[in-house]
Amino acid sequence: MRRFLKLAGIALVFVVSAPPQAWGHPHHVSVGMADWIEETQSIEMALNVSVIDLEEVLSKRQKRALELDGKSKEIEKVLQKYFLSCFRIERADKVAIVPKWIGYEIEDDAAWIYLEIPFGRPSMKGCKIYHGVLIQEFEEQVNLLHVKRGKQRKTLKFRKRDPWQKLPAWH
Amino acid sequence: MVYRILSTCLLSWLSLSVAQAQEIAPRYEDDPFRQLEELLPTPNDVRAASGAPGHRYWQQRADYDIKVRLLEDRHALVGEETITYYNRSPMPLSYLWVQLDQNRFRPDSIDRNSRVAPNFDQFYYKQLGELLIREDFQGGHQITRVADAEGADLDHAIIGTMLRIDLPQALAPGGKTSFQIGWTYQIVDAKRIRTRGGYEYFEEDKNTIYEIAQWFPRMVAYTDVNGWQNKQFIRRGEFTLEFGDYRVAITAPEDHIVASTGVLQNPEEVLTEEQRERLKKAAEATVPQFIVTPEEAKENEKEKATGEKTWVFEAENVRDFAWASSRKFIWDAVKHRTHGNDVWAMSYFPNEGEPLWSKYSTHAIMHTLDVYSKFTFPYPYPVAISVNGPVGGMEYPMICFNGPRPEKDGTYTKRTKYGLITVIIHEVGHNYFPMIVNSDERQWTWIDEGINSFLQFLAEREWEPDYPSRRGPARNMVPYMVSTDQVPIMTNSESILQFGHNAYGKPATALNILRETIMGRELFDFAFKEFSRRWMFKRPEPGDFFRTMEDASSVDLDWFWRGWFYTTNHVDLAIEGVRLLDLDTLDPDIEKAEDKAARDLEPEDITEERNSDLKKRTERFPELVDFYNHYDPLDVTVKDREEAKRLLEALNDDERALLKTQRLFYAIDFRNVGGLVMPILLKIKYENGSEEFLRLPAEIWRSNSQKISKLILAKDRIKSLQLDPQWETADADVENNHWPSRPVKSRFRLFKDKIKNPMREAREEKDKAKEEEEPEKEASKEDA
Ligand SMILES: [Zn+2]
Repeated sequence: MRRFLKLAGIALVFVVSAPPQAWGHPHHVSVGMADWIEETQSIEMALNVSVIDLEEVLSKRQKRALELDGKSKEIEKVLQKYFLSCFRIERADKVAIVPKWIGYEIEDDAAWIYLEIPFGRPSMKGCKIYHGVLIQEFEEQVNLLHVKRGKQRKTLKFRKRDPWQKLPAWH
Repeated sequence: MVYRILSTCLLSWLSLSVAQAQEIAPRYEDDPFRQLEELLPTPNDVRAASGAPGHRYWQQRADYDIKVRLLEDRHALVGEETITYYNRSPMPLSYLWVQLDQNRFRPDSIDRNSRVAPNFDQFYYKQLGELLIREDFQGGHQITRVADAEGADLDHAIIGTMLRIDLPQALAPGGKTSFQIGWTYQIVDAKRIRTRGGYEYFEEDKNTIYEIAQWFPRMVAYTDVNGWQNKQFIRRGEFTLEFGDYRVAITAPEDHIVASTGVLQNPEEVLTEEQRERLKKAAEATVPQFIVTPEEAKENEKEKATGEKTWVFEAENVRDFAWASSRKFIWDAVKHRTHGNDVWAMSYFPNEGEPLWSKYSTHAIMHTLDVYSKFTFPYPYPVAISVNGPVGGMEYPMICFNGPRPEKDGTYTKRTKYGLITVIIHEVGHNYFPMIVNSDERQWTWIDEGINSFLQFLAEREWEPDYPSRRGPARNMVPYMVSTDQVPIMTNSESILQFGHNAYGKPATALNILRETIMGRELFDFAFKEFSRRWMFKRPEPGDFFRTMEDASSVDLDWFWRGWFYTTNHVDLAIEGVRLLDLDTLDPDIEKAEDKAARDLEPEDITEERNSDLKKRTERFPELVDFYNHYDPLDVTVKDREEAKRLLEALNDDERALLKTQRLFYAIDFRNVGGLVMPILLKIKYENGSEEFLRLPAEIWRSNSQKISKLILAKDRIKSLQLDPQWETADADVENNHWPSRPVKSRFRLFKDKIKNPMREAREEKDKAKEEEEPEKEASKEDA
């Protein structure tokens, strides 16, 4: 019981009111493509996230109505801060890797977020990734990441109860 | 490019591509075309082989007479009902099952106790709050009475969300029985606990909006396929219900406006004279008219009446009944004539919904009725209502609850606007599926959600050009379809993974592909309308849908249902190679010259090349040279010419004419990488600049579902080929859709290109401007 309450206190960042209903309008799934690039030894990542969900969460954080217009530099800063806080990448040698923000754009009601993860190693073997986009805010949030290296493919699934996943040990 | 001659029989093959993947012999069980009969239930006289209701189709019926009182001070409901149940099944029933959906909120419910622990690394107050509220909330139907028509108590038992009533005598086939149930329950705070109905309290003006659903004990469906559908209500698997007539008397605070399923029976008792006058005007109008204006609603919020009023509604042939009540409601209405029927399109919303709601809600209702009626059947009910309250989006007969609201200052984002129109189209659309075409959602979510999402897409496209639709376009489905963590669409509602994609997006996409690419609009629309009409006010199963779509179109779609609904394969067709076939002219002077030309194009042997300066032995001793040193098998001999003459003479005139055909024979090799068989949509560009578009049916994969070749008779050389150029089929990998193969840039790279250039341009422009301003600083610029 003590541990429970203590963690509750530590982790409090903001209070979100009830998320919108999923019935008839179920978003809460983000899908990303993560391509391993041999030349740069990095992953190039494109994430597709619901604009409605993102606007709701960021508006609550910013305490003002936020519209992702795909243009404003100020909004990009907010997004950048949020998305960089949502990812943690750990190499096999326990070195933490910080993703690089490339940018974002809006297409219909999806936001595309572009990040680059430089590994500085010839393989992802033993690397772990934490993909926490919207998983604290929405109970049912699922983040899918399609990882690709050459012809090899694997889908990683991140949820609130298992936000850390191992990257495939491909060569 | 090297042309290598492989043989010189009647056809000689020129291979333009070397891509060869290893061959996997298809096994029988992998045959994507095997018939669906082995999976579908055997047709019988309740459900016919055509997919129509059988000649002995039956379903139960339940009529309800309900009196309910809303207690605003306690957020509670108190109700009494008489249910008249008609047994039209061929079986006697010794007990009846009734649903108590509110029991989902009981402390001992499966829903509450089967939730897994949250992640404690990051645990939010909000979650703790909801947890504690759930812990303390004394929800659930409190049953105060179960009695027969004469008032004598009936034996009964409550099992989770189900109530069993034990009848003193079995209810015979064709018989009916009436019984009474009394109940009360605590309404859920819908802003704090996720629910499909509940209340929203407004701190500022101390008023409440009630959206009341799953509120009265309702008959469990008893069906020919599942018997009693008394699978517990856990959370996701929604409802399946019996049709019947309702008379509902709702007693609410005197100053509330009540919105409800059905038609108001006593307007003179509950509405002011002015409101009734405005309704008369709205009956003649073509656009929504206020029955209660925003100003009147604002005024109404200020004080609370102490008295009560009873609103009486009646609804015929509905499977459920829901209502909403508040003194905050603005109310607009218009009598909308659509496909021959008059329908009251009405919206109820608080001032918090303005100005968005009065602008769009009722229009969205009318639009939905117009479009859905066109593709299915004329909307048969007299009313269609959209209510704004705490529920994000949920459907009931004639009424639905929709959440989106503008900001406090009345401005709203584009997302909110389209979010609202989209959710209203979706929820009003549910009147057709499953409120009228009454599928079993506790069992199969996709039938109503998938079909409804498909129709929603059609309606969105008719609202305005480039409507921001999320579900429907094939390419939007690709990321889900290639994911490794999914289940087939044909999965029970509670076991579905990635719920929204599985039960909404994928079936909607599948139906759209059927319509646009596989069947064509005319065939699809006819068959789809036939399904809708056959099953109006009846209960279809998945097989009835699959069978009707084939029955009405004469298209064997078993492969499509099997692939899209029963597997998790995805679409990925690839062009594997292109071979050019030449006709043998039988003329040795032409053929051997061509062969020689091809041989000349072969590279020189490396040893030969490096030995070129070496003096060879035959050069030193010319006497070693004989006939074979000069012999070339590709030289034309007299014998060759005689043989050709003999062959030509053996041919008849028609065959000789065929030899002069000016056609190029191309064999194009395709591979099915994703597993789903699909039509091959092929764009051919010729070297003379002309283009051709081929639609080859999915049946092309019949003989081999993994690898096939198609022969193209071309008049000119093919320059390039592209598969699925309009992205119709949800093909997952477009990189292998081109010949000659062409690398396709990733989304990431395309974006990087896009942002790179304007930045560079901007910088260059800036530099140029600087240069012009300060030409003398040219030297120091290199340091920057
Ligand atoms: Zn729905």
